[in-house]
Amino acid sequence: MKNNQEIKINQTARDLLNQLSALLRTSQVHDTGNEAVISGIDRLVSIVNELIDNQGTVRLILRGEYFYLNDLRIRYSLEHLLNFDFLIREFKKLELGSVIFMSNVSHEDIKTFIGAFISSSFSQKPFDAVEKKMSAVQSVAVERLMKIAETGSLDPRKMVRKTYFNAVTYSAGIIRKIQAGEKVSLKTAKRIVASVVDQIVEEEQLLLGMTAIRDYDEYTYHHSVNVSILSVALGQRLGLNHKMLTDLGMMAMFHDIGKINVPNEILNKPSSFNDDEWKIIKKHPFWGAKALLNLRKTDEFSVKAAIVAFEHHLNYDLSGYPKIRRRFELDLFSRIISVADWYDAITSARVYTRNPLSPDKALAVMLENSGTRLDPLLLKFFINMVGIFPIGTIVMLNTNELGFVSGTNQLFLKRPKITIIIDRDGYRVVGTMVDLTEKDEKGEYIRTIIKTVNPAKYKMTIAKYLM
Amino acid sequence: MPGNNDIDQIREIIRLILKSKKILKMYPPNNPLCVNITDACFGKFAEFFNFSEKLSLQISQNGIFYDSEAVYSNTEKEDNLALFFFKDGLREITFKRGMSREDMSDFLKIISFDFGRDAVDDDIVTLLWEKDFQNIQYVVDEITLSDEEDYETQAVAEIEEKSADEESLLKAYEDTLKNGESVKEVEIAPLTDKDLKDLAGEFEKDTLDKAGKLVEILFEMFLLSETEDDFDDLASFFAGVIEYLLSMEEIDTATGVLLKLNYLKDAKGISEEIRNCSKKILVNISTEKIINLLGNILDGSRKIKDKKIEDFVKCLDVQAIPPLIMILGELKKIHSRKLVVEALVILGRKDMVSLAERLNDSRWYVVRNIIYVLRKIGDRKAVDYLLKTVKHGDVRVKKEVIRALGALGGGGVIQALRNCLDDPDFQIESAALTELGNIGSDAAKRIILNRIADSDFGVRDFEEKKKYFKIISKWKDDEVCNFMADIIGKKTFFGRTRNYENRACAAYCLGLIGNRESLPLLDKHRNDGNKLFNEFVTEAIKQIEHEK
Repeated sequence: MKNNQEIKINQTARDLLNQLSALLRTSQVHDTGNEAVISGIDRLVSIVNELIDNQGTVRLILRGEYFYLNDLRIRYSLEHLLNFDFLIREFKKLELGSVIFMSNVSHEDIKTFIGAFISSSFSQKPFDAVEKKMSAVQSVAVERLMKIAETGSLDPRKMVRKTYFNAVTYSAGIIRKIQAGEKVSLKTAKRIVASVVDQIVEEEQLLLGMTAIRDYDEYTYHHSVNVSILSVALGQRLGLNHKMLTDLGMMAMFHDIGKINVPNEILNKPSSFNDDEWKIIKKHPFWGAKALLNLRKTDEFSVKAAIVAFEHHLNYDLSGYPKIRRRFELDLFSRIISVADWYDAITSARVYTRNPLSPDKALAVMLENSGTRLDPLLLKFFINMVGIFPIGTIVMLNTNELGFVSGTNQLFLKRPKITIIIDRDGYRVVGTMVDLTEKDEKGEYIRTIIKTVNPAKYKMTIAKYLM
Repeated sequence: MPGNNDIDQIREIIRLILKSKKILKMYPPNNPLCVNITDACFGKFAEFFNFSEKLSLQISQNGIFYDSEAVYSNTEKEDNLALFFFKDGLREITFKRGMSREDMSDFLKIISFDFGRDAVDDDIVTLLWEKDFQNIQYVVDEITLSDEEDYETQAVAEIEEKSADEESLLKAYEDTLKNGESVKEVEIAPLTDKDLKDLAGEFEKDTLDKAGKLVEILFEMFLLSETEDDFDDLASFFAGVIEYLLSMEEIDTATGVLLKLNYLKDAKGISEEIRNCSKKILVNISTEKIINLLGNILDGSRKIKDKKIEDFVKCLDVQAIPPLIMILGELKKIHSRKLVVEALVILGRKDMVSLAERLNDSRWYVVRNIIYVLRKIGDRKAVDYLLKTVKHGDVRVKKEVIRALGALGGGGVIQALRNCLDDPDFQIESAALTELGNIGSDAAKRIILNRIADSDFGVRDFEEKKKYFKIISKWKDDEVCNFMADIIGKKTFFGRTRNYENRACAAYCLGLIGNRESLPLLDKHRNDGNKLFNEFVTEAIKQIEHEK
């Protein structure tokens, strides 16, 4: 990654979005002759031209819930969230996918663009209206909002489910092949991870929801896939590019490969491990690094994957296992995968604890380990991603309704979307979704989470609702 | 329905894509053929986009269709463009107006990529995906990814089956209502600009050398290894990572690894397994492959420190000698060859024989370098091998071997050098003469004096004779001085010019010897009528007096 350059571009791109957002808001109130609008246009002209001077053509693209400047996802902090949110809504309203600044722009060009933007939002075919108005401007072009890989016609839920189960099948297959000493091709893994990356951009919530499906087939198979999805989602939040996200997803898929050497009777033991069993379990990072280096000739993949396999239980403060003699800093991918691995492991019923934690409790435990066993910065990003009540958390509402979290809310983390499965009278209902940000006529929230339920206690799973 | 003109245009585009695929596979990208075919392809697309927004092609196993009209058909397995796309799951490709020439070129490079190689982890879809083209879009059928088609159905059924039954769900509801666990308050701090800045710092750090990190881990794994199998694996991993490092031109890191292994192989307080494994690795990496990679680095553009190469080589096993000699004849840069020669001096000390046995290399310049290395090593055991090379066909090799023999000395050398004095090429004779002078023994002196005394000596070229007298001057003894005095005093009637030349050379020799006792003799001939003799006498007197 060209870090310094990317940081600078990201900063300018953020300025561009903030300025565009501010200008649109001002222009919705004032006409284009207003002093505030004029100076706003001038500022935007200056930012755009600076970017063009450095980058050549500048494409501002909306994909899913994110803006990209050419290939770079624009990262932003909470203070800019409202501006970004506003702009996403405006773009979607106009069916606007990309704005392309092909050469240096003038005050008049931007004025035309803002005018087209404002006036077209009332049109029946808003994008066509913008496009028509912009046809007179040589330096700026627009493109319609498109779904990635043109998959818009397919049911996203089904697509996500297919990707997920393809990944689990692959994970199972790879383990069997390695155990049998067969040759392993990474082409399929790369394709699967590429689908995961695309869907994280498009359908993050649905795919994260799939990770809450547990307790079917071998734990190891879907654990690898879950960690891969959670890691890619976190990587996406961190602003990793396409290539890095694929690498990250691949590393995560193989992080636990050393467990193939752990006897099944230990891996699937229904009670806690004794000391000897722990000794064996603790060897899996060493075995994992060995397996990956034996898998193929030393290359970029095997080098990175072996590092992650060896380090993923070392802990941020190196207090974990295997015990190392010389201190070194953990690889970024190892730390990302470690966070995802913790979360999936402690919310699952198969390892570390036979009594899995509900997602909210899991996050609390992870926070207790922030800065010691887990990287505090990455954990912060992770929690901001999954929310206080991650998808799959079973909750009781103050309305005496029972449901599970089926969608998070980035602005109001305590107010996710809930699918109700038992109504206030104690009757079973078929998954009605409610939004906890909804208020009544007095301005009070209609529903609030008051309790969480440990699904393991009642052997309940909400998996079928998440698929 | 598309018009005939459209169909013809599209067929032409596909023909050009196929042609590009073949040409780009055969020639490097900057070859004019590749540039021209890419231009032609791009030109055809541009013509098409003059009248259409986009070109969408649907793909089946044996055909490509445009708006349900077949524009390409092939039922063969080989060279089938439709099958080539289809087998990786591509079902539709759309090229859109706005596609740049660079996009075109990248697309053609992707389809001409050699996917047949074992080590390739990509297929056409992953490469298209990584490029993330804005104006080339595609639809993929992911069914090709699944080994077990009905796995999804089975898993879904299993999940359904495991879902809570009505009774337990209602029990959970009632329990929770009465005394469920209250919400665990998790404090979530919003992300700040500082977080983003810190994150950028993390990215920056993360670009650091990954292979170097793996090396650190491999050394930790050394300490964690328990079984013979573990150590065998580690030996192979180290060899692999060193090869990888060299392929990435990371000579500094690679040298660091070798130095550490070199230390471990003899270190005290280290387990025998680790010591033996370290030795094994150093032997295992002393291969032709590794040396060839080292050669690439030496001839590459990256600046490298000579010390790193020296350290790298000194850790290698003697097995590396033959491949090092091999690359010595192939390296283009003089400095690179110099470094390899120095490397051979280091390694050759451990196994001079391996080096000497390569003196029969067919490349004269390689043989000359080996001789140089043997001279630098200074092991007299090399003399036997060098003596066999004295009769080498190349004069440059002969000169080098004579020099080496002179430097090493020992049995057989004097005789070999005397034989070289008979060489018809004076360069060889001169080199042998110099080395006899360097040896400085009585036997050497005798050979030279006998040569000068030989009846044929006088008729030789003046400069050649002068060389003999210069060399003999190294023996500053009475015998030589008297020998010179005899020559100076010698007068002849016939062949006076040659005799004056000999006398001039003798005066030159006395001057070089610098013995003041020779002054009276020289003074006596100061005003001799022969110009040449006179000049050399005068010069010799000056030299002796100057030495005072």
